[in-house]
Amino acid sequence: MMDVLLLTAPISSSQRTQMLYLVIGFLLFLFTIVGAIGWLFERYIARLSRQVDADTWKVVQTRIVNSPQQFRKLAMKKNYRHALKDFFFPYLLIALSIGLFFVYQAWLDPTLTFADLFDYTDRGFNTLFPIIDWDNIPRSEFFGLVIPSDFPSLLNTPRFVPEAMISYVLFSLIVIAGVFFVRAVLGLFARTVRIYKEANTTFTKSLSEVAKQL
Amino acid sequence: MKEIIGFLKRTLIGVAYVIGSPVIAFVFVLFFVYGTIIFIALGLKSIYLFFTGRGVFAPFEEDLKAHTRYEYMQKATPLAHRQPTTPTSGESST
Repeated sequence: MMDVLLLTAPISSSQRTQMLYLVIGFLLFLFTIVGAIGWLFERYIARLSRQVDADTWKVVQTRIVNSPQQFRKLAMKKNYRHALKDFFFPYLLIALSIGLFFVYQAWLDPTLTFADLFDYTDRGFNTLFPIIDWDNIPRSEFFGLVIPSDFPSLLNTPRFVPEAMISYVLFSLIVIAGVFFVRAVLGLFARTVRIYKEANTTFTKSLSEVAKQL
Repeated sequence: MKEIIGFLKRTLIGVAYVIGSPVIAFVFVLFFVYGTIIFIALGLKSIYLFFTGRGVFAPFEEDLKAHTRYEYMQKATPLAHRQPTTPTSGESST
């Protein structure tokens, strides 16, 4: 079976069927994982959208707002306030990272450039990751098609470089900021969608509900 | 059987996510830009309000009115018929 997977042996009809099942199974697994991750995001978005309820239930219950327009206007103002709070921390981290880079460059290492932070040979954060040489991947001609025929070589094996510490710190700050950005964007999206949805349903009389009261 | 249907449903949603990923990425970027514009505009407004002795997170007029009316309604309603003060598990209202 391994020979078949590595395309080093001629394959029979039953082996081809086995391979087909294997590929279908793998794709099903992959799509299920994507679906499960999507489900987690759906639940998180639903949780974030409940902020709108916490913000507006009192004005709706006391009938201070009586129309979808009034509701949308007030809820969106509150939504903007939450967005300001949510986006503040990641932007602060970004500003902190930029400041730290310039301070480090000015005081400790004037030769450090922005490109050095991404370097994998010397003092960039990429020294922590395996770098694969995709450009020079071995290729062969196969029925007129030039396709990869072997695994690509590694340009860098993950290693810790003490000189690259500033890159690691800045990279960590940017990753943390990225996570908070994702949360802020999802929150803004969740609240906006819920506001527009609730504005249309909360102040509309449902005919079936009216009929139940008859 | 129920588990298999659930699994297939989740798989199909996974397929839909993969197909719709460019749209999802586009919406995400759109809301990121929207959020950034809000952040800059409201940030500048908050600086202006700070120097004029006001705050950007001050309660809205509608909230103050709603609070007063709610207090009145709670007092007017018998204790047994009062509604819980927090209907959702979300964070506190602003």
